[in-house]
Amino acid sequence: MAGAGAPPPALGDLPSSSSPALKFQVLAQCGRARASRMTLPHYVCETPMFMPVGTQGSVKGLTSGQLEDLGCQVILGNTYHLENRPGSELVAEMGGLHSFINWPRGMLTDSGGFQMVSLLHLADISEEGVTFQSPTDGKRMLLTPEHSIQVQNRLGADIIMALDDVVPSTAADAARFEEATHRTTRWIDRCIAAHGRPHEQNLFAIVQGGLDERLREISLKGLVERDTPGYAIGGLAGGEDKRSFVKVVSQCTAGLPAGKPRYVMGIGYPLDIVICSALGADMYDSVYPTRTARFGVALVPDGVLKLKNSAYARDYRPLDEECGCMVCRRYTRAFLHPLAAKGLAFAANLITYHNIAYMMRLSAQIRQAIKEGRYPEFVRQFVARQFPKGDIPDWVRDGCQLAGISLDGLAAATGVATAAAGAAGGQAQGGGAAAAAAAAHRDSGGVAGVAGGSEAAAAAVGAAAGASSTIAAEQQQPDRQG
Amino acid sequence: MPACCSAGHSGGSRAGAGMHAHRHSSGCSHMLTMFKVVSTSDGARRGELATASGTLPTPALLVYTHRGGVLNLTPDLLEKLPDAQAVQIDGLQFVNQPKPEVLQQAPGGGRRFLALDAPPRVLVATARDPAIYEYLGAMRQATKEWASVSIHTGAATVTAEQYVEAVAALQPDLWVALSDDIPNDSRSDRCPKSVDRTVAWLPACMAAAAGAPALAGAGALAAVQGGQYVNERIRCAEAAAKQPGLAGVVVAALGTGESPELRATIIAEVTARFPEGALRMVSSVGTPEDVLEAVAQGIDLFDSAHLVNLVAGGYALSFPVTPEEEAAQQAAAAGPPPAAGAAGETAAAAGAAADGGAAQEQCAADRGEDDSKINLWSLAYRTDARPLLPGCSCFACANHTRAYLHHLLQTHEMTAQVLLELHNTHHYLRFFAAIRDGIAAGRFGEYRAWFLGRRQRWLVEGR
Repeated sequence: MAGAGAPPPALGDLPSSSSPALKFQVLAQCGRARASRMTLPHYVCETPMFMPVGTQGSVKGLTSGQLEDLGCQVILGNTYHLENRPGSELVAEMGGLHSFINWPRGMLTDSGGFQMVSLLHLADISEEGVTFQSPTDGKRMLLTPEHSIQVQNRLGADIIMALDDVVPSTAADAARFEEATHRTTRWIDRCIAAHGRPHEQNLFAIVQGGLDERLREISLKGLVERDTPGYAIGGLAGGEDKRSFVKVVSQCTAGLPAGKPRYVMGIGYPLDIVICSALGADMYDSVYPTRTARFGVALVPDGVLKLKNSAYARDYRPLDEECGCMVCRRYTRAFLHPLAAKGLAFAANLITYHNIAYMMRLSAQIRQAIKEGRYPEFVRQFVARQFPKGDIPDWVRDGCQLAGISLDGLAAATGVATAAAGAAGGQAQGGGAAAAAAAAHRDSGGVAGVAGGSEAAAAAVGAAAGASSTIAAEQQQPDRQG
Repeated sequence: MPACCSAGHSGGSRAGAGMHAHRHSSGCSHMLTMFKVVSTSDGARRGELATASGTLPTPALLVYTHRGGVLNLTPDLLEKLPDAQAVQIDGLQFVNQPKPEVLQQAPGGGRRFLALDAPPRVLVATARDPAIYEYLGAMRQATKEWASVSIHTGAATVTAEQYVEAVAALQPDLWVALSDDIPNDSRSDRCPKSVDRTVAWLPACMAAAAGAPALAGAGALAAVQGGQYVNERIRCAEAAAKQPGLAGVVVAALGTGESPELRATIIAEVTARFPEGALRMVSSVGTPEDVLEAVAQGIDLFDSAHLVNLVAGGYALSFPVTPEEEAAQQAAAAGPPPAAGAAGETAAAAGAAADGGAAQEQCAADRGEDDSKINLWSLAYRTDARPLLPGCSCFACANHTRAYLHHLLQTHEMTAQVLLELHNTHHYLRFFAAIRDGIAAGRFGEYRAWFLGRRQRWLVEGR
């Protein structure tokens, strides 16, 4: 609930929805951001939330007991991988995925469609479905919308995903995007028809349309009509430019029902989660925090620590001085440095543990800030720490502007780049949106007008796009997510 | 100071019973008195090792570490093994990356740096990783000045002083002196050289330790080398026994291909050169039967090399730790077998249960199973909903099934090793507790006979 200050609005005034296996209640709104409660068959979740990925039935190196200790609410399983090994029929025989891996809380399985992108050279896509070649035994396997749903029904996750036609967001083929958008809408009907457990599992539709505003609008319209318990924004986090990314997220969150959960797929960079939450998204997943841990990279409020670097050989601080997790209480950067440099599993497990703790803490901080009506200030502080020199990337500025959050004070505080000043100038041309954003500086209530005025904000972004930028290469995130 | 003999003389009142039961007199009165034998039974001895980190009951299993980590167990998981009172740590892994000064300068010192400070655990620093036997030491010639070792940074030369510096940084309760560690089958000209160097490095290590405040309360163990040559082993042991200030001895470089008979001879000849009150450790002696044989020869400390190998192979220990457990296992297997099968827990087990006795034996082999362990890689466990070992109270068994472990192994998920290490360590700690109980009750011989009889039935009768 909202903290001190303005009396909290009655829950009845806040958006909500109820489906046979999912209840969603927005608890607090702050600009476009919202904190919500999502009741799933296995767990009552608080959003915004990050969901760690347990591709093949385990979050690599951790036990399900540790994931509970860490406060994870929902974990993912990958349908494609689980169908390969051990097979959904075996999982069903063992009582479903929850029972098989002994995870009592929420689970989400994807459709298998993402592997259209990640394993594309092995996939052949037609109207009927996707033909994969198994990377383990080379067998061909046809994944249709019906088959995907049947497999996910057997796995038994709380949330299951529609099979969508995913095109890599970096593809240049407009016709392919057009085809995929319409096919995704055709396939959702086949998914809904095939769904055998609607009272125990929630089928989420996935908005597609690449980076094309018109196609996204078509996709939104078609899917919202189908009235699924929740929605995902797909086709992103595939290496597209980030300014397009925030624009698409903003368009989709604005176009989706206010009372239903919104899940941005494949998002795991902390900054992305902060910005997407500002735009009204609720759920995120990515292998990034766990995968990057195995490469010796720890997530901290200032960015990342690349522990292989010899600069940490004598650094006796914990990974994150603000983190109270088991790893930060017991170990130092100096201990982890030589082990991470050698790629030892022990170091990977410790850093994985910390990175998940970090993501859980970040999610909780986001929720708290929203409930206390100070999310814009939270975003400003977060961005200021990640970019102490004030070299804030344009896409972050775009995202904040779309969310009605002003970053004005941040760039001004630095003497760094004329580009930053240019970007700020670009923002100023946003007129009304910028004024609203300035109001947000004082009071989160000030951004209320922006939520409805995303077009004006989008126009401002267009103007800002003209400003030159010198986003440091180091700010371009490494390592694509998979 | 630990390296002088004053403790042995002045601490008479603290000295254990074994302390005064000398078989050999030369230099033996200089033994430290942190260890005492509480009771004996059929050659085995139940002892207590008093350290600043608590009192460790022996015979004891030392939990394995690799570069400071308990292999796959993070501290929160290690806490799920409250009986893991002692850990073994290879001092050579702290000669470089990290260097000893990194630990020395760490706030709280080396123990805290390694997160082995709380809860307090008895730390035993060795001069070898018991799970990895590098032949480099034998292939490359060491010199009088330095040992040639293979560590994580590659081949390295280490002097006694460098080694002791690394050991001191760990703040151990016990430490093993540097030795020229060579395998059993080293050539007849290599072994005497190894003994010469080992004998020379012992006083060098003790002298270095005398100057290290961190080792002031720690007990030193001499390592006895000599490969397969019993006369060389004796020569090394006799020389080591003359060293004042030792807490005990390590019969080193075992588990490198020696026959059971030769191992027994070496252990007997070496331990006879030290007083009864000396702590006795062996390196890389691991299977349950090997442990029982060594315990019967009065060995007190064991490393966990065997468990490391079991985890790497995907094995879960399954042997009954007591005759009572064996009876319970047999009752569970024979009692309501149709019920167990019909519980529908396991399609495979149900299929196996339908077969006759002879067929069942074959199935056991197919399952990669013997009288002491099961192999989770086996397809027989694909849908086996039982815990790794029914009745086991460890974290892995309380929470997960054989089917899940099989799946984790098949998909090369790291969590498999985490859970197997938890179970196997828990199980082996219980085995050691049962051994201690057997000695304390004065019926170790009976316990050993029961255990070996079980093994014989498996080998001769197929169960």
